[in-house]
Amino acid sequence: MTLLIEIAQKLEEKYPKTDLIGVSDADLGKMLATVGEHANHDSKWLNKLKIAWTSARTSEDDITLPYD
Amino acid sequence: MSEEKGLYWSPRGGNNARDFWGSCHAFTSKQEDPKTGKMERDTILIDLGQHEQTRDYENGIYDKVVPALADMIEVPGYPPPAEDKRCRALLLSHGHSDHIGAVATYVQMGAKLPPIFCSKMTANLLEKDFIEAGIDESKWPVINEINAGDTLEFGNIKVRTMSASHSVPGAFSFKVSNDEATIFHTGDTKGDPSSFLHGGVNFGDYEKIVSEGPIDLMTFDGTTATVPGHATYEADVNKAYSDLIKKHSDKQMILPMAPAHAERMAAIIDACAKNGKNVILQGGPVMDATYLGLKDSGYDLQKYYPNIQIVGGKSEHAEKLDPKTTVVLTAGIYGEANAPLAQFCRGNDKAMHIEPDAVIITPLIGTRSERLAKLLAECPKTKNLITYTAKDVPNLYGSGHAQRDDFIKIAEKLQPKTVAPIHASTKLANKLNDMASELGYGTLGRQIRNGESVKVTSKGCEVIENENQNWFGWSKATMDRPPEMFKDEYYTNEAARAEIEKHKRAYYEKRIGKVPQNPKKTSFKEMLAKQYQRGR
Repeated sequence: MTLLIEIAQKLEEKYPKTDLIGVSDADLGKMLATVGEHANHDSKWLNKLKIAWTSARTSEDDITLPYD
Repeated sequence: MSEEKGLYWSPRGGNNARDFWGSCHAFTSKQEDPKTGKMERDTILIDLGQHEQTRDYENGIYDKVVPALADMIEVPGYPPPAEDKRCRALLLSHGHSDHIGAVATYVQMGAKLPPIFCSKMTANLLEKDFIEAGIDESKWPVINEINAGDTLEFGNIKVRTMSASHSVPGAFSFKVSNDEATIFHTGDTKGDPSSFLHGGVNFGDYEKIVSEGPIDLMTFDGTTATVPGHATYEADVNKAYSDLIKKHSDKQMILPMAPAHAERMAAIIDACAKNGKNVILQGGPVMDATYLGLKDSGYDLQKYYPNIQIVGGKSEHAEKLDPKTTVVLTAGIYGEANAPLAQFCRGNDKAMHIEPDAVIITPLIGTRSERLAKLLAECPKTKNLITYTAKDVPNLYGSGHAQRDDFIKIAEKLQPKTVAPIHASTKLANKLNDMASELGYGTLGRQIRNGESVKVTSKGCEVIENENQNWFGWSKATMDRPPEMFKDEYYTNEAARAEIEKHKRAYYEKRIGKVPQNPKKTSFKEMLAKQYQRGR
């Protein structure tokens, strides 16, 4: 998990204006390569990275009620 | 709990006095071994949710509040449970945090959780909880994926999984039985056989179950069960959105929604694709997790709809799109102060981009919609925008929970001898009991509160009262310590709550210094550091 968060940090520093959620797997692979990481990960691992990135980027101010 | 044979149901969360958060239900089989005559005892849990409204921003104390289960799960700092009282399995009905949110908390506590059984979608959302909590993958509990129609055995307890129709795919109802009795536990469901992403309720399965023997007790989703009519089908919600998007196809549309509503997200994105509208997801971490959870579970919405772009908010990708070609899915349907739309209404133009002629669709009805409606009406930049509510277009509102006609339909199929409300405050539970009684079903006469139990046999039900209505309060400040345990009274009695708050505040201020009234917003790097620390 630490690894995911460290990679998320690298991506955040290199691409501060990018929201990873809408980035395709292929594009995310290319982005990973530019920060010195392996580019070939499966979709599930990439989704884990996206969650690590989004949770690290989130402050408690972003919390909203999830249901109706 | 009685030592007499039977199948015992005990709510441990979700049957609260004032609300229904933190679902958790224990089922215990007590029956004799036919060979030895010895009484055998087996316990399973269905759901392990967190209480959703306890984040105490004002003094920053409690991070999570979860059902207290040290009597059946080994929790550091508490005496281990007796061998025959240990929980054998944890089944999860669906992937919403009021049903699974405490799992990550228990893992963080260092508890020894039993094996987990849930759908693929629920497993994916659970894993996202672990990631968000910074739990190292080596510490994740074993998760067994199950499907509707599976039969599982845990000692003398047999469980049959059934497809439920809720606002997220992979939702289950459960038939729980032993040699003494059968309980049908609906989980969160409505009577929609046409859920947008998956099969919904299969009434044929209900008939099959009844042919196997009577349902002695049906624990029924009481969230909206006494509201007249039936809960709107997701297919109808899809059409309502699609019609409005088509009508305003040349305008940017702002669509606040509950971010964990996976079915709704898919229904709206489908409506966007039908009308060539790109989608910007700007609903925070829960919306992100929902979108990615769907993708992991085989519902890759971008692949389904290649004619449109689905991008995250506040990004270059979003900025490159002509706003008039976009629908912004965002959170904050209750007008929560921190949601981007509420922030925009309060003058923070950077919170989100709203065109001067945008169209806003808000899906709630009644008093729950008032706060957001007020914000929109008072904001100079939104007050003149075209706004639709569920009052204008009723099918925009589609609860994931049963209404009266759903109850009637489900109960008619299952013919339970007795009905007991779950996922309902005392007030809602009383209403459901009255309605069930009027319709000719047996009830237990009142809400069964957390910690109480009901002995169910083929001869009837017996309520066993218990004062043990505990929750764990777990906080950042005590993450290295056993959690505090406190009574359910915290949620039921204003005076008691105020007294506990006073005590807590003094306690924490003594321990960790003055607690800030409004914790400052932490930077990305600080959050990373915190995550990193938590992960270790």
